[in-house]
Amino acid sequence: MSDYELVVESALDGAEHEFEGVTVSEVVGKSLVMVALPRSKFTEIESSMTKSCGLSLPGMERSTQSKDSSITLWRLQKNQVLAYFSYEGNDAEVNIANRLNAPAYYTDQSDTWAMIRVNGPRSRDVLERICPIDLSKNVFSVGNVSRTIMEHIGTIIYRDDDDSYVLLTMRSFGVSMLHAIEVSAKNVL
Amino acid sequence: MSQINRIKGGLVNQKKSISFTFNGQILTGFEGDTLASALLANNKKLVGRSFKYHRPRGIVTAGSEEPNAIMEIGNGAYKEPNTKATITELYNGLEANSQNHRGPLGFDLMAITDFLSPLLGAGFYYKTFMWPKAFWEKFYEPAIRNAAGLGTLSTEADPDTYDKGFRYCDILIIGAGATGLSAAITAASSGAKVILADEDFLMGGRLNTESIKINGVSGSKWAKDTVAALSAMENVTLMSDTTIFGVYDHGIYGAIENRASEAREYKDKPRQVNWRIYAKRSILCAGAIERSIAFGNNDRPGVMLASAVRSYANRFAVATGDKVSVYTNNDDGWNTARDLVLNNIQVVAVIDSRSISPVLRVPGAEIFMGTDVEDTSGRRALKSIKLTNGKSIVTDCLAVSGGWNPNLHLTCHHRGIPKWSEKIASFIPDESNPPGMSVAGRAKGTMVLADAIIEGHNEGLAVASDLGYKVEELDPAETQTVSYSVTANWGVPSGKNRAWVDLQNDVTAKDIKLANQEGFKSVEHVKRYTTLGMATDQGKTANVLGIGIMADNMGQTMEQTGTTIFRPPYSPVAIGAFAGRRRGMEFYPTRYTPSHKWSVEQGAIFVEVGMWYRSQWFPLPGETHWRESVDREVKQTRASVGICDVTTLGKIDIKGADVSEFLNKVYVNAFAKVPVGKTRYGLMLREDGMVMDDGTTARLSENHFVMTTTTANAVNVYRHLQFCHQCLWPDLDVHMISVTEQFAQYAVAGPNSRKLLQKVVDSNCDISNEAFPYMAAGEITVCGGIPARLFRISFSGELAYEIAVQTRYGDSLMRTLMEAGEEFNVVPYGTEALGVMRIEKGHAAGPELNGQTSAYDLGMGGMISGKKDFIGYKLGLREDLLRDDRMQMVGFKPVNTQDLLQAGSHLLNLRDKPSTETDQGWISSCIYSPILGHYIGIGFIKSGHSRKGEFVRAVDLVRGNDIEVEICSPHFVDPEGERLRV
Repeated sequence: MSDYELVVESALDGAEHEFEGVTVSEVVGKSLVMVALPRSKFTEIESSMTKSCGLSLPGMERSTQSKDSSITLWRLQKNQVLAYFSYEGNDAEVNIANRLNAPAYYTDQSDTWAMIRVNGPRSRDVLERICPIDLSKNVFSVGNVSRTIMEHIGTIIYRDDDDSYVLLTMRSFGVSMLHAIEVSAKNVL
Repeated sequence: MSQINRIKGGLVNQKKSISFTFNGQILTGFEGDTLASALLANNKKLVGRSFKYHRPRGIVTAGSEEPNAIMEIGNGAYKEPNTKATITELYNGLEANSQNHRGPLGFDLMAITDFLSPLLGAGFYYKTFMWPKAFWEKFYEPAIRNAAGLGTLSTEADPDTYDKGFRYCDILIIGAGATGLSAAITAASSGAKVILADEDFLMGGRLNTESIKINGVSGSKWAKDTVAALSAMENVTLMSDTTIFGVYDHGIYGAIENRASEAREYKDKPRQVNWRIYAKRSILCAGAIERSIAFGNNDRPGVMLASAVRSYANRFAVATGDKVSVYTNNDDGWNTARDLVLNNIQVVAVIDSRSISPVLRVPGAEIFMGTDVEDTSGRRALKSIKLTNGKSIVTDCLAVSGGWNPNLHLTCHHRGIPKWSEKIASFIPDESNPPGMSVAGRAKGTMVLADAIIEGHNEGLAVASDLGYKVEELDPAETQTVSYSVTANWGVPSGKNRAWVDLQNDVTAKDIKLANQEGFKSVEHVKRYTTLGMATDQGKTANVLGIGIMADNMGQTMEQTGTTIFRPPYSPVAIGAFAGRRRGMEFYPTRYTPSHKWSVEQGAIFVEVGMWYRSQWFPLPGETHWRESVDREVKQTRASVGICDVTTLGKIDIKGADVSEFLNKVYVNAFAKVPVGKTRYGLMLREDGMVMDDGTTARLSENHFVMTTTTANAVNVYRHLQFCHQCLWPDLDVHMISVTEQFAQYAVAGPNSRKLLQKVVDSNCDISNEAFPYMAAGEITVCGGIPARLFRISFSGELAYEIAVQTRYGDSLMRTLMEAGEEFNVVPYGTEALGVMRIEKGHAAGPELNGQTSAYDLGMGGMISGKKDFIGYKLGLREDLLRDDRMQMVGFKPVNTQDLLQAGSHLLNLRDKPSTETDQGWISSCIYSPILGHYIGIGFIKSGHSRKGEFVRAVDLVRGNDIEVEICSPHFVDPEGERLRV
């Protein structure tokens, strides 16, 4: 056994900033796994997931939730979904594979992304300074997910509540994205 | 006395004073004033000097079309030149200075140019200053530029901040006057998402400046109530003080929101926000702009547009003169006379060029029908006017109306060409508006307010209905129908006096005539020759007048003469607003490696590699030159062990039943039979047979591979693989995703690397040479069960590994490896040492993979499999790519080991003179090798592979270096690769 112990560090050191009407905070305790869907197995995978967790495959740029709401699937391209779920272990790939019990290919992406939540009644006012997609309440509704570019950074945006958005950027860009959101908040609020 | 021209009423808050300065003089205005209205209230009639002749000039308009009253606002780095006083909202502490004069505004030394005007007609600089030739650039041009011009720049960096943003709507309504508000109400009541934008800080357009009533209340009250109603609707976004400056493809509109007042109060707030508005449809309700009439000396301070005189009286409660006269060719000019009388301002005369009955009764005013103004007097302020009937009238303000031009600028941004309307004697939009845009109200040529309101109402309804919204049956607002009749009047014969057409550019009617006489027939050519319609106002008050004069000169119709093309921006936009927040460190984002924090603690020197910040070297106390640090890092690594963060290299996880077949198709070498637990070096070509990238790909399980790419090509390779899969071989069961950021990866290199790793790798994972030989790969655990990946690969040429853990452990693993390596004198090394070791080993990298090299050129022809097809195979067989005399990669070392060899040097035969013809090749990468004790390089030379042992010269004419070098193998250190396998 090695004499050394490795310490876990989140992408943004658990950053949390309060503004008037908006809170910007790092999302921790979540895992993300890419679930690749072989062409010939769409139906089989969906029925397996429905059976195991009550999950269906979401439509494009939409999400679905498991029966117990612990797993959310995001669909950003036809042949894969991203499973976003509460789990902190370093074996998220195995964990979700076991829970979904579907014949897909799983690749852990939990450490790939910095996840930032922008939450509060003024969240849209802050995000419209950096987000080029339409975040109107009735256009980008709760459960919508999209992939876009904000401030030159490839970003996934997911609306998980009325006034709450989760932004995912590649982990190395996390500090820059957090800064971009904070600048928006300072400019707007 | 302060504000001597202020009268009662208006929409300004006369209970709230605002202090500002003009040319250093402290003045006061009221909340709701513009800088222009406050200046007029303080009887400041002379506000600037003209562009060319330095003529005294005063305020002419009350909008963004203003040609004269352009100011420098602010001081020091905050100074902004050419700001229109007519649309600058007054705020406390505003500092304004007039521009373009030498000496005080009232006594401009450069006014001498006015007396030289006979010599300075249109295009004079094209005809004079021909001799001596050399004087043009050195003397004439600088002198002319110095004498003429607009404001001056601070030459300091702009300290203001700017931002940008994105907004979406169903219907964008441009202009919040009577038409725009009517359209907005009907459109918004349908539930459609509406953005209503107006360049004025107070919405309402001309309703705020007129005395007419709508629905029984004043126009301004109706506008205010309507804006309030819209403001309460969730589906409406109101954007005042916002100019829609451009119409772009796909329903995208550029908008500048001015927030100067807020920014002045809170220095960290953006001064302007550059919005990109995505609109399914738009309704242009931008109204119309009044034009002047060309007559002698029509540029004196006090000669204003009639609608502006009315605006200052009705909205800003300012009398622009004590004895005002009105000169018009249309019915609307009479409204100015009426409103002035209603405001108890004396109107001394109304002059109408039309021979018709007076339109209105104007108490106390002399009425002259069928008469024109032909001259004026008064140097710094208007004193009197002279009529064509010989009568002179003492007056200090002449309100001129030459008719109204629909504000159709935005309709032309997709090359629309306006058409002429005789009815209103002006150009109106044709049908070729930008897709999705419709026009209503005065912008369309509907000059009667009552009709414009109905048109806006109906257009809002129609557009919402087109978009599928259920529209409510609302009644349009009602107002009295006031007819509008106009007879074009392009000018009055002015004899020796100059009749000004474009006040901002000092263009006269004679200048246009001269241009026509000299053969300039196209309106575009006349514009360039005379400067008509250029600069900050883009001829908004001058263009149609100039075209009218040109049509008269040439005996052709207005339609035949045509307009110049209107392009974005509608009005000037600060460059800073386009840059937005992307300045300095925010020009683009920065990517940090997992070991960044630790590296900062070590005092690392960083280098930008794309967007990545990578450690370049780690200086130790006492090291004064980067070479000292780098040499140490290389020596220590080769002697014992070194660690380098290689997370930035691209990593792609590829899973599926057909991955080996897929890899076989994208790499030149065979991948079908790579065993599980093994890594293979792979070379990837483009379709044209040139090398695209290289890297290693490891097989972690039967259906699971992980590919590495160079840092620079991580995205390109991923995109290429996706293209290959999605377009070429979609049937293959292949699934890939980038895991570059999922894993923190470190190279552990040097003879003690295994010993070091054995301290952190869990004991159940055997990494001995036998169990884990060169090019082995596998999933292991470290530090008590933490999952990791280990690859026995080497870029340095030493016994080396790359170890990867989930990024959450990245910082911790770096610290752990350094701690565990203390007993081996472990050293962190940066990208410089990495580069030194790769050149010593002879690995090709970015400078060699330049898109023009084939596998053969790089000496890797032997890797190419002849048993399969792959991307680049067929085109790679082209005869020219197989020639022996191509530029081939080899090594170079100086004959005199003290010589400096530099990358970029060209290679020549020993006795050749440097020229394109004698050029043999170039040095692509070069370093000082601390192991060999001299410089070495790799590069390309004709037939290089067969010339090893030859001597040539490396010549660098730029840096003055010319040395003799020997062509050799690029593998300088351990050419047999023995160190890799121990």
